[in-house]
Amino acid sequence: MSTKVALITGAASGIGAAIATRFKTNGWQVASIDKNKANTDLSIEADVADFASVQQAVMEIEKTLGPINSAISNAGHYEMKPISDIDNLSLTKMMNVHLGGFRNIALSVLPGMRIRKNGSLICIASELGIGGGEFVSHYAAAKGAQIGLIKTLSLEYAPDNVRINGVAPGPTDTPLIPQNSPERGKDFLNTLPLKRLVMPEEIANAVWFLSEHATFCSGEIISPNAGAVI
Amino acid sequence: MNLKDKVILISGAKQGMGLAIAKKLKSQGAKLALNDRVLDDQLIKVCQELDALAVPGDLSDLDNINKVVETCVKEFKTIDGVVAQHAYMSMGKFEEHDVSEWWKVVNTNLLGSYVLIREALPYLKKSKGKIVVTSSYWGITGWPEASAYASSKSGLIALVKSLARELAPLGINVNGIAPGVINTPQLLVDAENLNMNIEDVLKLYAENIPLGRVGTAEEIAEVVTFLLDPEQNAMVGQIINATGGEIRGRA
Repeated sequence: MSTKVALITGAASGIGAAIATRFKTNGWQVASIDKNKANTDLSIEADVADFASVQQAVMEIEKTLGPINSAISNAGHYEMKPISDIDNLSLTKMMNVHLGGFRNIALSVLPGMRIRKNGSLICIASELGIGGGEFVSHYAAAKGAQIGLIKTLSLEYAPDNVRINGVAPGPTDTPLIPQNSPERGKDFLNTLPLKRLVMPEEIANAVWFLSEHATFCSGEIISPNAGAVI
Repeated sequence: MNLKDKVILISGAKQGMGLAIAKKLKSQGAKLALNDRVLDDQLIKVCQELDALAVPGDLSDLDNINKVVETCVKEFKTIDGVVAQHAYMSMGKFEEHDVSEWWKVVNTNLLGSYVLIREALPYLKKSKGKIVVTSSYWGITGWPEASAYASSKSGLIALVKSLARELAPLGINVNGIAPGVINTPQLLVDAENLNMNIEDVLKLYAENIPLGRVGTAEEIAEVVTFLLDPEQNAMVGQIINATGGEIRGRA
C-alpha cells in the first residue's frame, strides 16, 4: 500500500479527532488507539498507559495498514484540583497516561522509524507544561515531563532522520473544557491576547506542519496557545 | 493554506532565505513586494521571475523606510503580511569590534525591522495581517564574537513577544523564527573568513546539528508559510526554532 499511515492516540474526540480529519483529508490512512471507538480507518480500543496493549496495537496497525510514517501521541485527561487534594492515585494516573502514554508510543514506533531512517513523532503537550497553571500541578508536571522526553528523544533519534517534536496547545475548545467551565467565561478569555479559545483545527494545522513541512525542526515545541504563554 | 492574492512584503529578499520565502509564497498565490538594499541586477531579475514589485531601500536608514512601505501600498493598496528577515552580519571580539560596525548590526537588524513593522502597521490593522520576524538561534543562545548580532536578534524576540501581545486583540498575529545554520550565501563569507572550502564548512557545522546536516533556505520558507497561514491564528508571540535540533553551542 502506498498511502502514508498516521497513528493518532485519543482520536475519538477533541484535538485527536481534528488531527485525524486533517490527515484523512490529505489522503492518509489513519489508525487510532483510544479507549473509545474513533472514526478512523483502523480503530483500536486500548489504554495508552498499558505498554503491552500499545505495542500489540502498533504491530496490528503496521501489519494491516503498513509502516507508520507519522505518530501523534495525544491521548490525555485533565482535572483541576489543589495539590492537597491530589492523592497518589490521581498523581500516578496523570503521569501514566501522559508521560507513560507518550513513552509507550515512542517505544513502539521508533525502532521501525529508525530502521527506515524516516518518520515523525509528535507529542501533544500543553502550554501548562511550559508556563504552569493554578490547580493543575499534576497535569503540568506530566506535561512538562513530556517536553523533557521530547527533547531528549529528539537528540537520540535525529541522526537517523527521525524527527520528534511537540505541540503545546493553549486552552482549546474541546470536551476537556466543560461547557460551564470558567475557561469559557469572559473573564478568563479576556486574559488571552487572542480573546478566544484555540480551535482544535488550529492544533491539527500545527501538527500537520510539524509532521510534513518542518523538516529542519527537531526537539521543537510549538505552542498555538492564543497568547496564554508567550 | 490559501495565500491567493495576499500582499506580502519581504525584506532582504534577493537571495538566501528571503528569496526562498518569496518563491514559496509565490507558489501559494501571494503577490509579492520584495525589498533589498539597492535596486541592482539581482533584485530586478528576481522580481521579473516572480512577477513581484521591487521595493528597494536600505533598512539601516531609518528615515527612508517609509518609502519602502509607500511604494508597496501605492501598487497594491494593502499589505496582508510582513516578513522582516533582512540582516546585516559583522563579527568581532567584544572589545575590538568597531563601534560603528557594532551599531550598524543592531540598527539594521533590530531597528530596521522595528521601523518597517511600524510603517506597515496602519495597513496591517486594516487587513488583519500577519507579521513574521526572522530572529536567530544565536538570539537565544548568544555566541562568542557575535555580541552585536546576537543582541540584535534577541531584541527582535522581545519585540515579537511585545507586539504579539499588543496586536493580537486587533487580529494581527506576530511570530518569529529562530533559524540555526542554514545554507545561504552567508556561509560562503564564513568559508572565506575561516579559510576553508564550503564543503568543509558545511561538514564542520553539521557536526553540531543532531539531524546531521545544515538546513536549507526552503525549509525556513516552510516555517514562514505556516506562520502566514490564514487558517492558523492561535500562534501568538511564538518563536519557532528551526535548527535541526541544535540546542546548545559546542564551542
